[in-house]
Amino acid sequence: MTRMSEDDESDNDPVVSWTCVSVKLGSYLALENIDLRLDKCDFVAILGPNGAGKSTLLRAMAGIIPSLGGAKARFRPIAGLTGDERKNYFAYLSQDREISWPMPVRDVVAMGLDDQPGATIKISRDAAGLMAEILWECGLERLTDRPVNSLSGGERSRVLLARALLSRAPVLLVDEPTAALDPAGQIKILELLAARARSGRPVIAVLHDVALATRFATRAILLERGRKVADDAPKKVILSKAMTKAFGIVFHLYETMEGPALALSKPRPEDFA
Amino acid sequence: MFGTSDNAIVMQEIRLPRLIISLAVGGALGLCGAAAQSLTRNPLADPAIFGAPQAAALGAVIMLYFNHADASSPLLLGAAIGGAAACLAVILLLARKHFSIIAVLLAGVAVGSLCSAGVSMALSLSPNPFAMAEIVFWLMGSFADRSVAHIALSLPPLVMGSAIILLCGKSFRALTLGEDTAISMGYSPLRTTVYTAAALSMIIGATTAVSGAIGFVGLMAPHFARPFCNGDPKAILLPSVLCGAILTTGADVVVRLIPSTNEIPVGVVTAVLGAPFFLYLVTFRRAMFGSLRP
Repeated sequence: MTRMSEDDESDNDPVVSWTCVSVKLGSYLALENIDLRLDKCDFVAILGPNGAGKSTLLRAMAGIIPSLGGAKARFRPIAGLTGDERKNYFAYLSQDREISWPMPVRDVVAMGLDDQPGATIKISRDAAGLMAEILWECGLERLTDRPVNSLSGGERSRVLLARALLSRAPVLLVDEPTAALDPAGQIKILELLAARARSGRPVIAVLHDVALATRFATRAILLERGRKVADDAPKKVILSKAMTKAFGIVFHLYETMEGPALALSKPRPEDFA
Repeated sequence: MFGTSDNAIVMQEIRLPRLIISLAVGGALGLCGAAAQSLTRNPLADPAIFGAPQAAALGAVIMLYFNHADASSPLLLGAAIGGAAACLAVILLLARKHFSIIAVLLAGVAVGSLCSAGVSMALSLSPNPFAMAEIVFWLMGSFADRSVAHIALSLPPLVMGSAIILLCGKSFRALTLGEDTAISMGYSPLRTTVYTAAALSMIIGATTAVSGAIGFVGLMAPHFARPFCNGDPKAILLPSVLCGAILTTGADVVVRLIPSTNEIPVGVVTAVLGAPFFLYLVTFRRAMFGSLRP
């Protein structure tokens, strides 16, 4: 039997696996030995209090900041990828919703296409159809000609998410995709991300809304001071002692007809035991 | 080209070189402004913020001071490009440890001030008042008495620098969404910065050597071009060349139309136009610059 070529994939192989990811920012160890395996239909929520290293983990996973440890995307070490190859693996939404120039919404979203067509270059018909679909899904279809500096924070956030969604990269890494969105917008965007994950293009999202994470994510990982302290089904993670310890607060989940509802309470000594 | 009559000689030896140099210098300065603004994502940026023109002037003044060169010598050009390149290299080395645009800008302000001080010191120590007056006049920027030799000297670095900047267009566009997003899109902000710095050294060195310091063209040209390009940092590059060339050549025409015994330096006209424009941008037009932070 001949050896399988490296490009052959089976459904049991992880899309990406990160091992022992550590990040040093100056002399500060921001992340320590994080392991993460990402499977085909995963929607992973990264949870953790402020300063736990959530955004740093996302940036390290996307290869934006250098990290120690290994990462293999479909058997290839990520450190060896060129910028173009990395772009073909990961689409990334930054926490920083910066758009420096007053470009129209259409042009900013079009940056998600590989060849970056601008106003002066024709977009192919397939790409135009995909783009129109994503603009509609993100609720931007009426805003395509508006300059981005005239948009609200939530609209701008959706523009940048639409750009990331338009990328053909299989893995989507998004930092607080629901920040600045109204409740209806939050649900709409998370439904969009969950559907994308179900279709076989995994998503990793930093989320602050624990109830929404339970409702949409297939897995949750909990970070505390740069270490991964839990990696399980979202409900299990949220009700765990590790969660109480990390946030200093107790989370209670109540199942309702419309989905999980969240209540918080002050911890008692036995909650940590 | 124009025959041998007196008019033809005036045209060929004086007017045409002056026109070509003002177009080339203005266009290149406009392009530099667009590159600096796109790289720093700041509409108030100008090549001067990197300290490059000051450093180029210092390099050239040192050459002039020691009488090693006159204004059309390759030595002067080399010294000016070297000055600008040294300045940008120092800034990049200072900023290398924790790369950020803010660090580059602050380092540029510091190096620029140091070089200005160096030029002032050279002027105040000059033993020859005529040499000093000549340097002062040259520093103010002028296209008077430029010849074909100046064109031949300055065109190669101008063209090469411009070509590098034009190749960085896609990176500039990606940087619109911030450095992290640009990296995730496969671009390298660090590489773009190094290439742009090299291109700015060539252009600023060459323009300073051939025509002295002409301020504010780099700042203004992209602003005239921007409304026609939807703010796209890639699409803005060529229109900025055009606007810079028109601005500079227009200012040079104004200089020649103003009746005076000594010709007013073109740098004075561009500064007189540019300083109020700068104030207008800072005070009234903040709203048009997207999510720029102060």
